[in-house]
Amino acid sequence: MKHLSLGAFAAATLAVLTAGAAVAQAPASPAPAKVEAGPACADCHDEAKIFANNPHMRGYRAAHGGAAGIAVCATCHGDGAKHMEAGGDKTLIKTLHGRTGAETCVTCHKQSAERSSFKTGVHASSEAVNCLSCHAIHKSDPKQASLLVSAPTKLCATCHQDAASSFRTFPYAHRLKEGALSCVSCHDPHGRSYKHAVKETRAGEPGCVSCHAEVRGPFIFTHVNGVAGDCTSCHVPHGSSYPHQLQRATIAAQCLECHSTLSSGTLGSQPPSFHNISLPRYRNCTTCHVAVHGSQRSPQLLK
Amino acid sequence: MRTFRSAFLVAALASTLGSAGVARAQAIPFDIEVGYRFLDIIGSEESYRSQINEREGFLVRGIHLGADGKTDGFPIVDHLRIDGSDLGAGPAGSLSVDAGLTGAYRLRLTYRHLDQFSALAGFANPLGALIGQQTWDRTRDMVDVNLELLPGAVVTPLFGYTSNNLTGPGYTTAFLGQDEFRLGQDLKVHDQEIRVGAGFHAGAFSGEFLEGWRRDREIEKDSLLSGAGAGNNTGTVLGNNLNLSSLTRSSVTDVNTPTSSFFLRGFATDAVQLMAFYVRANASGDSTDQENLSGSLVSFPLARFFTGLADNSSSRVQNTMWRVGGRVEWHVLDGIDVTGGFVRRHASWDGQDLVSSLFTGTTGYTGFTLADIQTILNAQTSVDRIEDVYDVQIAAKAFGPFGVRAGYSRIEQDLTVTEDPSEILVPGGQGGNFTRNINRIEGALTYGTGPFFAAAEASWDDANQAVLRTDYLTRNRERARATWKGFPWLTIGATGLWVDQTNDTLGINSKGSSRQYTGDLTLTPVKVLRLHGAYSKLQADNTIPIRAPQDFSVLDSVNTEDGQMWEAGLGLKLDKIAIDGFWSRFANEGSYAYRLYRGGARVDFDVTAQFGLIGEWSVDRYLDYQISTSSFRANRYGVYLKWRP
Repeated sequence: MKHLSLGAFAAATLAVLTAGAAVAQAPASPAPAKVEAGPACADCHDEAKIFANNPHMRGYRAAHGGAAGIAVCATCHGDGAKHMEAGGDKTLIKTLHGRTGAETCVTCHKQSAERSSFKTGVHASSEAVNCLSCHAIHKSDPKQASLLVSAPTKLCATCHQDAASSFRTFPYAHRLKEGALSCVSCHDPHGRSYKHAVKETRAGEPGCVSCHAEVRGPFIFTHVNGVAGDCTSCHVPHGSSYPHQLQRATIAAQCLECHSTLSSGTLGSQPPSFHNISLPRYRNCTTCHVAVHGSQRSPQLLK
Repeated sequence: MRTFRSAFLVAALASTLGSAGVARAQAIPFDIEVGYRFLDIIGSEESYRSQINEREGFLVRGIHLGADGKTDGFPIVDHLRIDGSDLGAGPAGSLSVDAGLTGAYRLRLTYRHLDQFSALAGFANPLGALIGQQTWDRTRDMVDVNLELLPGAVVTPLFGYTSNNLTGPGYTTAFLGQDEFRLGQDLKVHDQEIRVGAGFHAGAFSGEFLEGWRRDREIEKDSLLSGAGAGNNTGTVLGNNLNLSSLTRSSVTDVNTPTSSFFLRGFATDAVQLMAFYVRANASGDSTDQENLSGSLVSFPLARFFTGLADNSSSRVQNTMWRVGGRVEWHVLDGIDVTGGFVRRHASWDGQDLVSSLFTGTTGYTGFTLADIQTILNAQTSVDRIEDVYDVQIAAKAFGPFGVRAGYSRIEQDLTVTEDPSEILVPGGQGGNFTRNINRIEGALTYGTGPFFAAAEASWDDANQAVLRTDYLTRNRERARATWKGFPWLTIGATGLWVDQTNDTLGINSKGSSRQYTGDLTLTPVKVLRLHGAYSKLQADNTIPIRAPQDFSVLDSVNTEDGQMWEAGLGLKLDKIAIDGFWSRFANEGSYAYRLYRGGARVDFDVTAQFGLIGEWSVDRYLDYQISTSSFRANRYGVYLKWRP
């Protein structure tokens, strides 16, 4: 019943929103777009005509009491009076390309966060890589949010061919193909370079537990998760040849590489001698140590 | 949850389709692809489902609605996006809604559904059957809702809710004496968080305060599978056949985690931005567990046989995490920025577990009947971890086509583990104080002019010691990539990645390296035709000595990968028809040899401007040379109707 009521709530919310959006279009549709987008610019530029449906136009209207004419174009392109007087001379209008174009974006998008920054993040504005490499103000893909040029995974793959190739190559990998997950599910494209701009939970745990909540803990008898090492000590997020995206071809190798007394001063005990790894049952440590991510009731992670 | 999911999906689709009718008249961008996918598998279905898991059934392949306009007529929503993919037969579907009224509110909702399957007969499963530990067929449903009121105002109230629900059957094993017994497992994990807070903007300062309450409830019920009472050990122990006639296990875990976060940023000058943050999360978990079993069993620690066990445990764990830090971003000159920061992270765990075990019907190894025995384990564990991270970076972007970034960071870790004696398998195992410092120098160089783009980046790590044996002392990671779009019809790209890490500490002596080279070619000889080809080569080689437990001999654990992938694809777009196809072959000759062939095609035919038909075919052929029974060939055929009012 609780579930039904949640579903009903979701249905009602979505219905109101979608109906609202549809109705909201009613006055917008017959209204002349030119007036909204700046008639002078729209006379020549098709981009200006479609700009009425751009979030930047919405923001401009909100900031300036609903009025939006040529001034909205001037926000980024500068005063176009001379450009128009000269019959459209391209040298007399500011165009947004490369680093200088991106600098225009960060005059507004300038607020940084703990782990990300539009201005100094790993993809920040150089001549080669900048805001306009991924976002298109006038010609974004209509099926993508945030004015992206194309779907995030496809977009990232244009430069990060090695990572993209891993997802396509290996039999065990996160499912990017369906679109429920993408590169930006785990990485912040505006993040700083530290730890490959991988997202964390708000509490600072590895971002993996945002989805894999069952291994989040806390456990009384805890294992690797964040104490020393993290999920990537055993798993390969971009794809692996081995089941469960493990780092190693066998469980014994995965475990015994840490669990050894060959070295002193490291964390990880040596299994006792009845663990005869020449026998299949002991080569597969998780047969008995089933609670390998941590346990509330078994010191040896047996249940 | 299934009811909720169904209701949610039906509601979402119905309302979206309903509004599409209006959208048709209003020219709101909207399209939907709905159809059916057929599945044909030859070989191991379990292996296919563990890797791919695309099922047969109805599928909303894609749904998109985007509306953005004035609010004169209906002042509740002035912008709305709905995007969905692969809803229905899965295995990974999503639906997102982004709606709002400028200056009033913004609502973002994301729903994701994932089918999770694992059944690998030959991997980590000495029972030799598909049903073993780490085997499951579960679904995960996630909902995330965020509402921001009065965006852009001085104070913007924030509300959020997140739900992550994992349910479904699975299998595990119980380890008793020298036998593993297969158990059916029913797991329900529901993790929820409610968030309330506010953002504020006052002149040069802005920030956010957010308070969250996370509640996680995990219920697990296990029971002996029918026919599994004999276990997997056919031998006898001191002449006795061991067996289990019944086992039931039930455990409930509740974790409550209030989380507070505070973030403040301000501009000291136009060129200097300052940030400070503090986050504290305090997780408190309680767990109860009951297990009852009967049979003919043995306990080596008690040196006796027994016929029944009643096991009860109650445990409590406290996990406090906080971090505090600050950053400075200084825009020194046009194109030159310097950033620096410090963050201290602290995490501590304190756990207590009280386990009471009553063994009944006990007899000694020689057959004498003995009294019932109750054992009590009162375990205490704790972990305390502090990590300090300092970093400074300079980015210079004003050198024409060149961009340069250089940075230095230092990570100082201090870890104290106090394990319970019951955890230690071999004395001297896994407690103590561990420290590790890592110095990292990193840099990147980009060059972009006209059709040519090149980038090189590297990071060089130097650590003083390891905490885990697999930790490195030195690690070098370098990557180079280039793209050339010399002609409108030609794009060539190449990437190389080199990673080397070593630890020459006595007793560790580990070495690891990996190489990955990728080449990419796209040809567009005519506007309607796109041809694509790619080649990728992967090599990895890791070695570390390990100690075999049974005789304490020293072995080398060696893991290698040696794979090559070839890919080809084409796209043809004519007036009413679009065709896409791809094919790939990956052969890995490393520690685990296998081959993987993938291919597919999609034909998209516009019958009218509003309606279209889509046919899809894809195939995966997996050849496993280690465990031949894991090989499979899976063809999927899909027929979809496209509607674009």
